[in-house]
Amino acid sequence: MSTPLLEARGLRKYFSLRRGLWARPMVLRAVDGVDLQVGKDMVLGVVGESGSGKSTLARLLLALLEPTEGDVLFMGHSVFTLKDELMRAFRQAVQAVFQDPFASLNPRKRVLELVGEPLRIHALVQSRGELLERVRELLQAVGLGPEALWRYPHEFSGGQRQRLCIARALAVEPRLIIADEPLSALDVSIQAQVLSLFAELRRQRGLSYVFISHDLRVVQYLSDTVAVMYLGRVLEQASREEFFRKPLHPYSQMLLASAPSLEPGRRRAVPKGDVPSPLEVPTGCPFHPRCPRRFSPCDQVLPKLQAPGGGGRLVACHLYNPY
Amino acid sequence: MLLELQGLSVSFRTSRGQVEVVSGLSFGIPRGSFFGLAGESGCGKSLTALAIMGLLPEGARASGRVLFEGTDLLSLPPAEMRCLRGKELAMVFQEPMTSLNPVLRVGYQVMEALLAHRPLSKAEAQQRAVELLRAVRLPSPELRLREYPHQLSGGMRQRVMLAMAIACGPKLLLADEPTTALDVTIEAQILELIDSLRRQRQMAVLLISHDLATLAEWADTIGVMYAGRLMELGPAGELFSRPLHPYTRGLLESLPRAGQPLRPIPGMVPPPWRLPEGCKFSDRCPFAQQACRRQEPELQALRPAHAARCIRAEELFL
Ligand SMILES: Nc1ncnc2c1ncn2[C@@H]1O[C@H](COP(=O)(O)OP(=O)(O)OP(=O)(O)O)[C@@H](O)[C@H]1O
Ligand SMILES: Nc1ncnc2c1ncn2[C@@H]1O[C@H](COP(=O)(O)OP(=O)(O)OP(=O)(O)O)[C@@H](O)[C@H]1O
Ligand SMILES: [Mg+2]
Ligand SMILES: [Mg+2]
Repeated sequence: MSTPLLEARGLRKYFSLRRGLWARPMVLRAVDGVDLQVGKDMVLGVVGESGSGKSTLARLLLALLEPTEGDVLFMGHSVFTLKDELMRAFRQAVQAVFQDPFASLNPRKRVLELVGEPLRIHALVQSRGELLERVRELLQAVGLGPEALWRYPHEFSGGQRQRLCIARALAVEPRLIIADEPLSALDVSIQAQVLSLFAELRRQRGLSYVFISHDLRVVQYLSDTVAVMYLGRVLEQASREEFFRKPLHPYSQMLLASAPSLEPGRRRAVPKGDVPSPLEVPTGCPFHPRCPRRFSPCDQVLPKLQAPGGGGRLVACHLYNPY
Repeated sequence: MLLELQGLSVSFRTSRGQVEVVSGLSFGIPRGSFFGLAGESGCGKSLTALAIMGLLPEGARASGRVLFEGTDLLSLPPAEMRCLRGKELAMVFQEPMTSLNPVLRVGYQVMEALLAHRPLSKAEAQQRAVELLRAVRLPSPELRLREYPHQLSGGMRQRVMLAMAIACGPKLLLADEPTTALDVTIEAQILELIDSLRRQRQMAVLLISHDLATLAEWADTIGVMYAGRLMELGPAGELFSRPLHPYTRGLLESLPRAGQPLRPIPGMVPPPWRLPEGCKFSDRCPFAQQACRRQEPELQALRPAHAARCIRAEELFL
């Protein structure tokens, strides 16, 4: 197989927390051994409940955070030791869109500056005329008119601000966008607008995404591959079709069953229990205290992420893999 | 009817003059029933709930009538309204952290809610607090009583808020997006809890959400608001499967479904001072015609207990 665009290998991020001056520091395992690959023209959806480590993973993939262990490779090179030329190539090829469009835009800058800034930093335009033209094109690509050029972020609605963030990310012609809950601050109707924008940009430009969300409906709409995270680990990874047709891991099954039903008159299942504190990760399989199908090895032996029967889909569960 | 709104309007005095943000709202909530209120951000859902509770912000004025067991809450003296609040009507909000006092223990806050409307000894109050926390299915309530809000997860905090809201056995619970900040798994738990409390205690519920799919699961009746108005009102299942208003249809087509193209509503909600003439949705409506822009349509019953504010509803959707 050719070298993937971006790859995580045995990625771990532990935070050390001190609960008082004299207390022994506790170790919080936010990301605990994640392997992922993102190829060309591919959308990897990452789902999981709050605190499962999705945002930490995103920041590691963007090299905004140093891992405790493991590595992130950009076209085969570690992103934490990239030099000059390659570092610039990485910063250009991989862009981020975050949850809060309000916090991500400098309130004192006009749209022209906000969206044009990355173009200037990466020296992608030679003149002011060219800058204006490129920013206009970018605004058009995200469905905003040229009158937006001279306005400030506060003059836009939440959905429009998220479009501005996307225009900014697109400015440098990236190949991969890492989007961390880009829709969750928005209304259902505006979510739909931004989601179809993501889908359209992919069709037009062959962009890849790592798309993080806790909303399975959104992930189902956009992703080719789905990875399910729980307490810092990937419990299942499969193609969208396989995953939504027949999720294997009991946790995936629980997540799917608890999503709002789109059939009138049908209620979703109500799952039991909360996610345990990441400071007290259960022994064995991290999901076993909530798992309806646990059996003898589950509280003892940590299941590995493996392909049962050798297929492409991966699951970390003793029901499918010999232990 | 437990609660009946008759032409409820809410307006603000602003630099642009008097601006109406809730406009002539009329609907009823029978005893023990589950009512869902839907609509995009800014359409007036929260202000409607706050008007019912008598908790409108500074500068807001309500008119019309809010009949609660036949009494008009809008004309009730503040002292009597305060008495009713918590005892007969209670409310939970989106972000439980902002409604809980961060420096007081959870148990103290639940006991305060209990003692607000009836005298109890300390031991009695403590015991009732444990019972309430058990009723909202908080694990090990005796221990949790001694914790501070920040020591609880978001879902647990929302359970504590619910315990405080139901402390005095209200007849109506208003829940304003109580689960938007939570995971779908926890959302399912909280909504199921609200519904089971409703059934056990014959407590009516008004649930506010912008997600029609969620409302359709739990509510028996749904009202859809746009620009401060009720655009459609009907039985939950029917409204979800056979909507009568283009706006409701648009909201439903905004929900991503496997294998179906997404059809978002174009544009966005205009600010209250820039609403179009005639039907307020006409500038975003794919079915709008000349007549729609001339005069605002009435809310019109087209099926039993199912009404829509659209002159083309009959021709388009019936
Ligand atoms: N800088 C930090 N210091 C200490 N703990 C942290 C830090 N950043 C994250 N954590 C912890 O790591 C765990 C994973 O957090 P993360 O934000 O990655 O989760 P998430 O899946 O993005 O959750 P959400 O859906 O709520 O955004 C959490 O328990 C969080 O409290
Ligand atoms: N204090 C205020 N002064 C002036 N206008 C206000 C004030 N509070 C709210 N509004 C306006 O009233 C309208 C309705 O607000 P409301 O909070 O009821 O909306 P909502 O439907 O609850 O929206 P959301 O889904 O975002 O919570 C909005 O246009 C809002 O801008
Ligand atoms: Mg996150
Ligand atoms: Mg609101």
